[in-house]
Amino acid sequence: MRIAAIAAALLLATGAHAQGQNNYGSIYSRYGVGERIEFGSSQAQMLGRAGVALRGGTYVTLTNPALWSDQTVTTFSASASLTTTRAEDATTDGTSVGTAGDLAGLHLGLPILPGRLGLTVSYQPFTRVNYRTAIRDSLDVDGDMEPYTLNQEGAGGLQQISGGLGLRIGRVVQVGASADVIFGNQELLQRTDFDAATYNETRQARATRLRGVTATLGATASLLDPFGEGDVLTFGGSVILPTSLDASRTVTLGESLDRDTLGTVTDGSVDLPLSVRAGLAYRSGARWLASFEGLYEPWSGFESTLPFAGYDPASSGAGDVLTDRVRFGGGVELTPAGRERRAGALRRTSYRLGGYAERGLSSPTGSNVMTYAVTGGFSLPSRLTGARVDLGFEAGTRGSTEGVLVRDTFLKGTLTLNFGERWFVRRRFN
Amino acid sequence: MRRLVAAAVAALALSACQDPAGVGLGLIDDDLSNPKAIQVPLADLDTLQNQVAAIGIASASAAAPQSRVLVGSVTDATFGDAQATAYIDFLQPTTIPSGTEASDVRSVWLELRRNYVYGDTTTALPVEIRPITDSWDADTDYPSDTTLAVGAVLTSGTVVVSDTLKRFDLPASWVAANAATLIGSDFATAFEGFALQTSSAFAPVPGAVFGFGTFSTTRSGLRVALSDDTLFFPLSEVFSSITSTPPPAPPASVLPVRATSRSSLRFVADVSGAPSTALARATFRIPLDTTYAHEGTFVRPLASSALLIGVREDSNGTETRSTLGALTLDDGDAVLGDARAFTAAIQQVLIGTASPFVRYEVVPIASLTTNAASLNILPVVRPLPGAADSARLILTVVGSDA
Repeated sequence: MRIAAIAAALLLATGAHAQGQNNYGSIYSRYGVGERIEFGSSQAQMLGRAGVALRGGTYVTLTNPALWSDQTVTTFSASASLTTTRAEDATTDGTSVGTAGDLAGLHLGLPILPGRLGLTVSYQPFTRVNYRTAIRDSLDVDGDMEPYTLNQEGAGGLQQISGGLGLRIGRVVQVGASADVIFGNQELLQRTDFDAATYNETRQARATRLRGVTATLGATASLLDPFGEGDVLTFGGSVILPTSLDASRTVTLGESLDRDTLGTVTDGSVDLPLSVRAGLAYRSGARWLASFEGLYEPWSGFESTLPFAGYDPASSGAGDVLTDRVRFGGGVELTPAGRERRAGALRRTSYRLGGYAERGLSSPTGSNVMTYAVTGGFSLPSRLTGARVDLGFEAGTRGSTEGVLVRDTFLKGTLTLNFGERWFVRRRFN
Repeated sequence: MRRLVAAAVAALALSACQDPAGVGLGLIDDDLSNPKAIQVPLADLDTLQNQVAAIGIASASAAAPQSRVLVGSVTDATFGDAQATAYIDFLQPTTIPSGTEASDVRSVWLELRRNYVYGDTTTALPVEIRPITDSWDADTDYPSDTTLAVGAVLTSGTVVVSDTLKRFDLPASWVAANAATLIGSDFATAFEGFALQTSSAFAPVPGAVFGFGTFSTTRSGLRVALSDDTLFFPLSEVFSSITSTPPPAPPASVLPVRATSRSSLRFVADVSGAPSTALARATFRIPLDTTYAHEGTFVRPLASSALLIGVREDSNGTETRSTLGALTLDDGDAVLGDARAFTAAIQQVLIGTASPFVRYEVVPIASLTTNAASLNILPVVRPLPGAADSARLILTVVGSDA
């Protein structure tokens, strides 16, 4: 694995993350601890986010540790994404356009026993808060109408760092487990800016720091040659265990180093629900692959001692808008050349197409916030053995313009660099 | 691959454009904390007696510049009687023609640029010039009614409002006696200047107080005529001793606040009822009754500026005074022009990181950049209970209590 390539991948990923620091996405990211983000692998993303049963050594699917036992070479991947979201509602004439860059995922995988026992360390966002809305209005101040702009902004989110092992037992069964550290900061900012220079811009922020540990368990079972020689049918499932995060909240005025803390720091806890996914993948020879997955997260059981948007512990459930998140997705992949290494680049490219439907974790008006998206992309071969460059896209809509709801139309592009190379192998001949 | 990475980085770099709008406000209306204006009525408005004044220097570049001196006497039943005596000293020219002797001094006169009047503009004010016999220097902390010891009358004149450059000729006997001092090297210590005061026989009905510019740019100074040249001695130390009495019949609707007449405005503005939240602006609006500026031929110049001073008190009762800004005239009201410092101070009070001000003081001044003795008035309308246009503190806050 070339160090320069790894450096380029890290640079790309870090740049995307930095670029996204002040960019904006969906208004729905304000609810709970933010919009749930997942990154299984670049392959899974393009196949309708269905990766829980995807076997193979080139890609390491982060959502199911059982699959990590498939690693035969040391693998590394870095993925960056760029999402443009156009939002509209029934109450506003205009539209809001936000663009957010983000680091989608990083992983390093080591085959302890190639094809049988694999270790993986990974990073991926767990939630993301990145909304902004602004209103123009005027205030009567002592008889003078003073125009102002009131901005409501959300930033931050939770991150996930995982480390774990995947083990293949026999030829059929794989199991795996990882320990997951979840941490991050969510900041909701209200910024008010008067047109008149005699007024100060006000910034009141509510920052919530969260941290905790959970675990992910996964398993797969594969049927070899179920319909023909070389076919593999794999069933997979994984679960992120529910956990309680420690939380501390501060309300501040001002910005950066000049912030004043209002009141005292409030400590509390936030209970995240479990996340269950199950699916199957069918590989027909070396050319065709199909994958399907369902996901369930019971966010209606979300509990916290601190209030969040859409959840108030003092309301005894009245007015809470968090609901169970459900997603079904799937896709197909075609690699025309199969395993032919001498075929042309276009034939060695993998072509992927998929889609998913998801009920979001919030229902602000009682109506489901549905997301429908088409996914797809290409996996381009490289002159480097075991390296592939994946270009993915995801286009869809989220929500509706019914009542006060917002309809997002989003287009997401993802660039992922995947590397695989043998490490720690002593050469027999010079 | 390099091209792909470069393309991706370029795409990310171009992604910063945003177009946020009001889309989605319906989803967060519950959380919206619209700004609101809160009026805090000022309480306990009263006048406060000032105890000190400054002996200044007649130079804009000095640490204590004083651009005007006052002389005269006025009776004013509304804002109080006042008497003023001006004390002026001079600076010897840096270059005196070589070989100049006392016998070369032909005549000496004092020229003063009149630029101020308070009182009846038809007054013919008799002014006497006396030598100061005390030693005095610039001082920033000096009782405002301080008087200096003076000698006998040297000369006198009458000042009327039409005078722009008033000349007082000094008698030949004084010139002969002081010619050597005027051109001598010990002028700074041997000569203490003149006092300008009204004649004790003058009965102000109602009278007037006139002001004279002190800076050399006004050409006020002492002229010493030599046989073939005239020397100009600009003013140096200057001081206006002002005595005043409270008005016997102050108007019921107005607080008789007058600059450098030993009074300023004091009041209380209690912000304890305001929310502990973000503050966009804090400012004062104090209505003035400007009809008192002109009553027939009687004029009372309005104070164009006033310093806003906040007073804090520690547990031992020790007071700390902070200058928070300057009030200026705006449409007949005194308002805080640049409210940033005051807003920052009140913000700290609202969030509890600073103790509140126990009271505020408003000290009328002639200018924000230089001191100028004056009797300018600040006719503050007394607040009426429940009146929306009474003197008030206006807080523009955003959000509710944290």
